[in-house]
Amino acid sequence: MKVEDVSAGGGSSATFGREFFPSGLRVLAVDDDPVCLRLIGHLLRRCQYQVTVTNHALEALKMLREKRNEFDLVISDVNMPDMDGFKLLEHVEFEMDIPVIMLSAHSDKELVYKGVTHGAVDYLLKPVRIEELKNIWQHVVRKKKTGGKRTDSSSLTNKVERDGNGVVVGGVGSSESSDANGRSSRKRKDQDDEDGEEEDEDSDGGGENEEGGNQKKARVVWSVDLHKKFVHAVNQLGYDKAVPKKILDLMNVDGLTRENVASHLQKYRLYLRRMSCDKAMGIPYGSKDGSSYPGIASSIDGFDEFRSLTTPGRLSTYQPGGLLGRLNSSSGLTLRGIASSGLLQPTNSQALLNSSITTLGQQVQQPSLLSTAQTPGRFSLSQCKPNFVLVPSIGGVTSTSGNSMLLPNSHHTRGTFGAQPAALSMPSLNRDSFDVGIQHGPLSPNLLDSSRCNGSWENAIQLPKFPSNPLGEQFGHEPSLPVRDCVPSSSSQIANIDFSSASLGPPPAAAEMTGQVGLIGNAIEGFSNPGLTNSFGGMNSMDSLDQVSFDHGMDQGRSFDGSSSAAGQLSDGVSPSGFEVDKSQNGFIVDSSSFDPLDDMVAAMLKREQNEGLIIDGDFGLDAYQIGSCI
Amino acid sequence: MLVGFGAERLGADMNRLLALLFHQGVLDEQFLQLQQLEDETSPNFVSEVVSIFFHESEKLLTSLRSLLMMVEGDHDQDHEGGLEYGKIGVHLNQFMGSSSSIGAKRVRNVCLAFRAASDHHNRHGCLRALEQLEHEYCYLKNKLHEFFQLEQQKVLAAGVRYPMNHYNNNININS
Repeated sequence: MKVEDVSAGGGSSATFGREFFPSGLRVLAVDDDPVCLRLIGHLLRRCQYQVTVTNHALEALKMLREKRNEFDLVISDVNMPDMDGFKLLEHVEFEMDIPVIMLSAHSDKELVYKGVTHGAVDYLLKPVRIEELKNIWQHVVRKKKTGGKRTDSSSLTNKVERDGNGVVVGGVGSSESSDANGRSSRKRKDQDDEDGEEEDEDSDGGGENEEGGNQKKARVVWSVDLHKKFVHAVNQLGYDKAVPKKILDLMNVDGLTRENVASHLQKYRLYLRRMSCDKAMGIPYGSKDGSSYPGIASSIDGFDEFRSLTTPGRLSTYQPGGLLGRLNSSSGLTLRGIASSGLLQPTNSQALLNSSITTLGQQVQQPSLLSTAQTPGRFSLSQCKPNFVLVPSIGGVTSTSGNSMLLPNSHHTRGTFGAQPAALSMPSLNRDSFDVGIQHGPLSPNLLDSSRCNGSWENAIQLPKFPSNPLGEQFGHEPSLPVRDCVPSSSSQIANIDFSSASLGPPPAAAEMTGQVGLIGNAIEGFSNPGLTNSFGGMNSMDSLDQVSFDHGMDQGRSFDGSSSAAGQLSDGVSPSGFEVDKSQNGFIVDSSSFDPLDDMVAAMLKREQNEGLIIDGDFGLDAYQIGSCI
Repeated sequence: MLVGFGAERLGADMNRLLALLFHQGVLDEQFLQLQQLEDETSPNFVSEVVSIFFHESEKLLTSLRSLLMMVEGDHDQDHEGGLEYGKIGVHLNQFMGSSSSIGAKRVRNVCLAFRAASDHHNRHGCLRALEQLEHEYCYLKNKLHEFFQLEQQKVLAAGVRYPMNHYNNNININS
C-alpha cells in the first residue's frame, strides 16, 4: 500500500479529503480480548493508520458518538461481554454510517451471514494478518462512493431477510426501513453540520421494501398462501390469459415482482403440462386434472412440494448432479412433477436416466438427504427436492426414504418415484403393500426395459402401488430372476410379495431401473397397503405423473440394463393389476383429498417400511443395500 | 568474544527451540508474524503480547474449571448446564482467539475440541478437554518462557539491541 501522503491531514484525493488516505486512516478497534487488541492495534499502526483501541464496546460507541467525524472505520470483535458485536455494528451503521469490519475467532457460517446482513463490510477471522488490514481502506472509499445508495444494500438485506425467513429481520435492513426516515434526517443534519459531506440521504424506508433495481435477486419463498393466491389469480384470469403482470396485480402482494411471478408461472405451467401429459397417456388417474389444475388442494399441496422443491437451499432444485439441476429447472414442479419431469423429460430422459443412474451412486449422499427429509414420510417427498426424487436415489439408502416419499403425497409420489429409484425401499414397502401384484419395486428398473416401457410402463405406472408388489412378486417367484421375469406373472399377485427371495436377484440390474421403477414401485408400495385405496387414488395422480415419467424414462432410459424383458414383463404384469388398481384408483383419483389420509397411511407405512427396510431382513433389505451398493 | 559466541549459540538455541515447537505443532507461523512485528519502536512486542496471553489464559482456565465444577452431570438439568456451557463457550471463544493470535496452534485445537464437547453438554468430554488444555498451556508456557529467557540472555550477550549505548560500546567486541 502506498502512502501517498504521510500526514494525516493532507489529502491527495480531493474528492474525499484526508479521510481517503490509507495512511492516516482513522481506525477504531474494539475487542474485549487484550491479546487480540494489542495485536491488531500494532498491525494497524504498521499500516500507518491512526489507531484508537478500546476493549469495551460501550466505550467505543461513546467515542464514536462524541467524535462522530473522527473515525473512518471500525473493526470490532463479534463476541464481547458488554455488547454484542452485531449490535455495535448496527449502531455504527445507523448512526455514523462508517464501515465496520467484524472480527471473530469463529468462521461459523451463521455468524458471517449475520455480519454481512447486518451491514458489515467485511468479516475477518482471527488471527488477523497484516495483509488483510492493508486493504481495509477500500471499504471507506467504497462507502463514500456509494453513500447515497446505502439503502441498496440495506434494502437487499431487508429483502433477503424477509424472503429468506419470511420475517423481516431486525437487522440493518429492517431497522432502516423503520427508522430510516428519522435517522436519515438526523444523519443529514449531522452531516450538513459537520462537514457538508456530499452524501445524499435517501429515505430508506420507502425504498427498502420496493424492488430496488440494484437489489440482487432475493429469493421469494412461495408459501402455501402465496401460492394459493397465485393459483387463485391464475384461475380468475383463466389459464390461457394469465400473464404475470395481471397475476401480480390480482395477487396484490407486496414485495413481489413481476419476475417472481413470471418464473413461478412458468414452473406452474410446466407442472400442469406434465399433469396433463400424464393424463393424455391414458393413465387412469384422472387425478391430475382434478388435482392439479383447478388449483385444488392437490395442486396446492403439489405446490407445496413444488415450492419446497424449488426452494432454494433445498436439495431439490439445485442438485449437485447435473441431472437434477436439469430436472429442477425444467420442472420446477412439485416433487411429483419433478420426479416425473426430471426423469421423464422427454428430451432428456435418457440422459437423465443415465445420469440418474450414475447419480445413484452419487446419490448415496443424497439419499441420506432424502432419508432425512423423508422421515416424516410425507415431507420427504416435498422435501426431497427433485434431486432426490428424480434420481433414483440410492436404492438402499433411499429405499426407506423412498417409501416415505411415495406415501406422503400423490404429488410427491411422483417425485419419489422419479427420485427414488430406491427400489430398495420398495422392498420394505412391498412387504406391506403388496396388494398389487405389480412388482415395480426394485425390479422395476430392470423391467423398465425401454422397449417395453413405453406402453407397459404406463400400465405399470398405473400400478404405482404395485411397485412393491411387483417386486415382491417377482422376487417371490424368482429370487434370482431379474425382476423382469417375475413381473409379468407376479404382477397379478398382489399378495405380499416375498421379496426376500426375489429381491436380491434383480437388484444390480434393477438398481438402475429401480430408480425409475422403484419409484413407481415405491409409490405403489406406499399406497398398496391393503385397503389403502386412497393411496392408490393418491397414487394415481402421482402415479400418472410418475408413470409418465417412467414411461419416458423407460423409453429413454435405454441406457438402463436391457432388462427389457423384465420390464416388459413387469409392465405386462402390471397392466392387469394396474387396471385393477386403476379402478380403485380411479375411484380415488377424483378425490384428491384422499391424499391426506393417504399420507397418513403412507407415513405409517413408511415408518414400518423404514424399519423394515432398515433391518436388512429378507432380501429386500439386502436388495436395497445391494442396489445401493451396486450403484 | 565469549559473549559474542554465547550470543550466537543462544541464537542457535532459540532457533532450535522454535523449530522444535513448530515441528510439534505447538506453534505455527502466526508466531513468526508476531516476531516480524518487532522493530525498533516495539522491540519487545512478542514477549509483551505473550505475557498478556499468559495472564489472560490463566484467568480463562480458572474460570473454565470452576464452571465445569458447577455443572452437575451430563444431561441433567439442562437449563442449568446450559448456562454454564454457554459461559464456557464464551471463554473458549476468547481463548481460541487469543491463542490463534499468537500462534499457539495446539492450544487452539484443544479449545476447538473443548468447544465441541461443550456444545453437546458433554461434561466428561469437557473435563478431558480442560485437562488437555491445561496440559498444553503449561507446556507452551514453559517453552515460551525458555525461549524468552534465551532471548534475554542473547540480548545481554550480544548487546546489540541493548538500549543502553554504553553497554554496546563495552561489549562491542561481540557483534
